Amino acid sequence: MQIRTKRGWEIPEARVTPESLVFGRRTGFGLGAGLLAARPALGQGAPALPPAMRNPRYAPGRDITPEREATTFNNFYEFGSHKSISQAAQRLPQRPWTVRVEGMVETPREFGIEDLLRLMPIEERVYRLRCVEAWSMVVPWTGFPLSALLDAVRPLASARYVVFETAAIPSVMPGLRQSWYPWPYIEGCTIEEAANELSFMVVGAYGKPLPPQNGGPLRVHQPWKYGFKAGKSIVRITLTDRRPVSFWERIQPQEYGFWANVNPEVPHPRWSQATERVLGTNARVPTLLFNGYGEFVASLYTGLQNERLWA
Amino acid sequence: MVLKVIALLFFSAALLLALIFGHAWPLGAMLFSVNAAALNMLQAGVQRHVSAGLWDSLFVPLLSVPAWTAPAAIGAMLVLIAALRPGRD
Repeated sequence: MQIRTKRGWEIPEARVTPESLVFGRRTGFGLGAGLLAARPALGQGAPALPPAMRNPRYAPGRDITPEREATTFNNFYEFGSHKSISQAAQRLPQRPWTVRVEGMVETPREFGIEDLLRLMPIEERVYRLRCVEAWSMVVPWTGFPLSALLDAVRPLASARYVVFETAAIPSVMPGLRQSWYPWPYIEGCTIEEAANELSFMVVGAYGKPLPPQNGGPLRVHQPWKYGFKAGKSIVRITLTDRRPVSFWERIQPQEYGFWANVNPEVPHPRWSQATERVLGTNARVPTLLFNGYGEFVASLYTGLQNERLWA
Repeated sequence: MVLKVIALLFFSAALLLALIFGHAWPLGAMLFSVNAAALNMLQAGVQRHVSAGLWDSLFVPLLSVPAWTAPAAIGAMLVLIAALRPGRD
């Protein structure tokens, strides 16, 4: 007797969607796309994003955070140290916007944001984001792998670190009046971390251009690290052989280090990292090692036991 | 007499700050170099738990004044107090 085990993707014939309904939905999508293209541009002239297919490889395992929550509860120090900076951030011009990729590369280049939208393999990924302040959210980001951008400039073999520099525009960023802070905001990672498939350059969220309060028009996101590692509104990416000292590492090195990988067992000096408050539900859930992305990134850290990997 | 001596020390500190770090070096920069974490936590405390506007409108202008003015102001205050208490000096 043949025993047949049904595989995950197999469903009964009765549950197959009728053909007419499929084509009907496509018509609807087409109409939706047209409406999307016709609506007023967001973020001071940011045009709509190119179509982006969701990459199913990175299922978040949690519900997506409501857009309103994710776009009105933000950390962006150039606009203040509180969470309600979304209105103030609207003053940050989103176009024209260029990012220079330079340093230890064969072909340093300056990209306009439109160049990136045209040249890079745009896709959507739903990632979890874990803030060092013990809250989290799940956002459908639109963007492209950081590795694709690095491939375009061909890093030299001597390059060991990637440094992300945030825009510093005093006329629209009131935080820069505090001249004692080490502006511009700098963050960085190793070249191996940058090349990891999870490292993602973000140009959109919720199917729209990335709003300035979330780091528009271009930010980086490495979901296994605490959120402060994700540089926002990036204007320069530098490849170097010297480990950068990041903005927060310079201010409070005992609390915010270079690696800052998520680990529930290593508390922040002033609070536990064992759980996190999920934005939108306020539920408190256990935090996962590497924010649950260990299968993708744990191997990056073998042999680095002497480094302070978790804060 | 004691107040005037202390005032003189503060004036000397003000002069030294201006000579060593420059007359425009902000008070915030001085506090940041002394204890960056404390200044940062003060900002977070005020902006998150009191008022974001209060930080921008009061603290930032205050922290932006030249560092030497802080000991100079204290010195001036001590001289004033000493002048108001002539019988005890």
